[in-house]
Amino acid sequence: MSNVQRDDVLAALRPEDVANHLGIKGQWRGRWMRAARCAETDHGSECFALSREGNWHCHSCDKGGRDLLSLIALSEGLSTKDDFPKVLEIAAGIAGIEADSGGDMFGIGPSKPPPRARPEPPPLAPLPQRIALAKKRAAWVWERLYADRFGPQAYLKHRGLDPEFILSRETIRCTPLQIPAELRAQIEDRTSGITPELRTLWFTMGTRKGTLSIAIPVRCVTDGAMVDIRLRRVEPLEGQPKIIGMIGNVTVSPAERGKTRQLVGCYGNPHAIDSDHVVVVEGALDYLTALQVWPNAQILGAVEAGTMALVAAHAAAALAARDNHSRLTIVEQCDPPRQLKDGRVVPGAADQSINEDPNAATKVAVRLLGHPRRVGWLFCQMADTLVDGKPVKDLNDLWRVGADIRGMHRWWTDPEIAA
Amino acid sequence: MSDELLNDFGGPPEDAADEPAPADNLIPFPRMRASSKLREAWAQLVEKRNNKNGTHYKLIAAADAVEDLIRLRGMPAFSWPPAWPEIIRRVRFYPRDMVGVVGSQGGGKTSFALQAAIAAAGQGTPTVWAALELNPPEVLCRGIGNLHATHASTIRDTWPRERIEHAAGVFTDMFHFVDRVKDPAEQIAAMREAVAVAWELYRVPPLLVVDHIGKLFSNARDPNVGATQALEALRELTEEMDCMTMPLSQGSRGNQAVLTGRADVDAASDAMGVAASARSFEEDCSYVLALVLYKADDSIDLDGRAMITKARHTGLEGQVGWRFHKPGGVHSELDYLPATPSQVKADVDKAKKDKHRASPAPTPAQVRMDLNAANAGDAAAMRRVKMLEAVTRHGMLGIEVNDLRRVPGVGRGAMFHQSLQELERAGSVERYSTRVRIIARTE
Repeated sequence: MSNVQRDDVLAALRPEDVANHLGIKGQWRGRWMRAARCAETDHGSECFALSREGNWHCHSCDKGGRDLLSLIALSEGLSTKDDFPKVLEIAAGIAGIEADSGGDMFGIGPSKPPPRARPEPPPLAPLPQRIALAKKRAAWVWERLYADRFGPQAYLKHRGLDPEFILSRETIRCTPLQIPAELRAQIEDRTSGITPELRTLWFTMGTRKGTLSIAIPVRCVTDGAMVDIRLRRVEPLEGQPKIIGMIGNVTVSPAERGKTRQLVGCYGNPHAIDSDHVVVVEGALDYLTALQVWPNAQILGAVEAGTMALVAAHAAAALAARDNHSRLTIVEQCDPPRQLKDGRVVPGAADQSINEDPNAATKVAVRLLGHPRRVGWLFCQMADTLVDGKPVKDLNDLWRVGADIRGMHRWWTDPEIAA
Repeated sequence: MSDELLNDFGGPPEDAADEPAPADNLIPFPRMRASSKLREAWAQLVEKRNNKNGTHYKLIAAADAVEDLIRLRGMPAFSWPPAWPEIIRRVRFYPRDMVGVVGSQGGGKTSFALQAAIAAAGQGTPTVWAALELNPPEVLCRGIGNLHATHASTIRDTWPRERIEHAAGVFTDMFHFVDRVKDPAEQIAAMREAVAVAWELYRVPPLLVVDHIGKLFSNARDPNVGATQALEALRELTEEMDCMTMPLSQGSRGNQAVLTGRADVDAASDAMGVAASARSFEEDCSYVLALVLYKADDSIDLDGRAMITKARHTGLEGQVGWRFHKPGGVHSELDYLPATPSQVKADVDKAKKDKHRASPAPTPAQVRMDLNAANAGDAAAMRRVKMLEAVTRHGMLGIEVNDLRRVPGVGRGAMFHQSLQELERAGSVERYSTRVRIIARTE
């Protein structure tokens, strides 16, 4: 087996095969699969994520990796450093690669190792029960977060927003997290490549105030009670998640045969939609930015790209039932196209979230409101403009570069969109 | 109970107060179960007779339907357009149901179904459309026209291709046409296949629209027999495929006066039988909705009523005020019942016969406006009553304005605000923060 090359195995290894081998069954949504089972154990919510490129992360165990070998190693109780040949052997078996020539004299490849035997995961509790539990947990967690305004103020200011205004429109709290020693060392190391602004922010929030993330409530669409609390980490490094949700959160009902996915919660006040103008954005930071961009509108934020169409549908249905003139604006992010390992270029994460449909949210809004010039659209893109060395991709980026955001707003029926 | 287990007042110790009650305090009442012996005996007997006769009857017991019921209950009901609150309340449209829509020729049946289908697509329900009368390009133009409140002919003649594609992109993902074939049996088979594909892809019960049902049996020697057979096949398809079916039907010639408002009906259920081949249509559909439009020459907006003549699940037969905007065929609900042409004619005639009148007799248009204003005033009074009842129910803390909006019968949009403002000015309620509360008077 020694002549099997790591790159060959990785090229032939498919995430679906690895998931099948490990007994992980989940729902593929766009390029991510979410499952309640990770490589080690079962969880109460879909906290394990596996991407088609081989990235994986278990938000409950807080373990993750950037290739499938580390996932296989974790499931087999091996170390990629110490037991790499063994891990590679198992991976080659899953991928169907033989050590010598890739097949026997009849061209038949090696037999795959049998899937790992794992007991069936316990059935999920009914959705109403899970929502009730999530509300209790969220209330419990929220009471234990810092109500200190300093941390959010520092972070919002760093993102170019007016902290006082934002905090007058949304309640934000802080996590009582200690700054890790290695991060402290990294901050203090002036040669580590961290920008001075970020170093100041980390130092101010982390060492002086003991917090490295701000907490934003996710409210239930029926009664406004918190069903989840999303933490925006200030210090994530490359490859680490920026947003962390509560364990056992429920923001959307699972997709099952015969049932449409139902929105359970989002940022803002989805239970009380009562405004002539509602704006739907994606993500925590865009939600906070939109509060400032449209001070007279009601803002709703999808917690992830995959639920944006559901939030738009919820808002559109409420507005359609309310009157005949209120308007809805959809703010779509523009994640830059990415190149996969096999050379293919695919749209960014936000663009292909729902069945690779970049306009899913706008479509449902138009279908429900059913009248021209009731649905507006804003695409967060500016050619040849960089923020922090990267292309503009979201509302906060537009705000920071001082773009005329309202001027970029387009109605769905505008001729230039149709053209 | 020993002394150390009592508290100062002779009750159970305080620290045990949060513990659950002991099991022996519960009444041991067993769950109701069917007799297993009778069940087995029934199954054996049915099997024996099936074997003897070469049949495959199941003859299930009442409780055997529970499994199916729970499965169906998990499926979503049809999402009507949110701007039609009365239709939502009265017509609960579940999978395996048929909702028949009846209207006169040019009475807005197709646009009604299109508007409903596009709104349902917004909530995740796909549509398969059996275009038996209009061809797909015509239906497409009407769908786009409905979204834009623009005449289908304008779109057909003047819109550039890019704009049509852009507008069609809103619903094309969730909207597919069934191929048209001559033979009714083959046509039903094509519909079945379309529903199966929609089920497989979208994994939710699709909406099947048959526009219109008369075309399924137009070649039949006996229209009544043909209608019965076609509708039975459609119902069978609906039940087997767990889909929601909306057959459209033209009214019978004899009942045209009802569908145009020339003949009044006291109650919506009196309009039963307006559909062509009415008997089988009304037997097979769970709900029958008759669109009554008061046609007038050169009028852009037509008033009318949506009559729910049959409501199997809700029992809420009745009439809903309706308006049809001709450009695009946009349907909207009114919160009052507009005056019918016969009411207008009666009032005009009455005024003409008045020998003592000091001014010329009013025109029909004036009478219609007066009657509609009176009806709208009655509806506004009823909205205020509903609103006041809801605010009173919530006592001194009052109710959130947004929650008040959701109370049935309080109106929407400007009507809601007007009613609330009138109550405020009358000193019946007051607003504080985002809530409304009652003003109690003690005299």
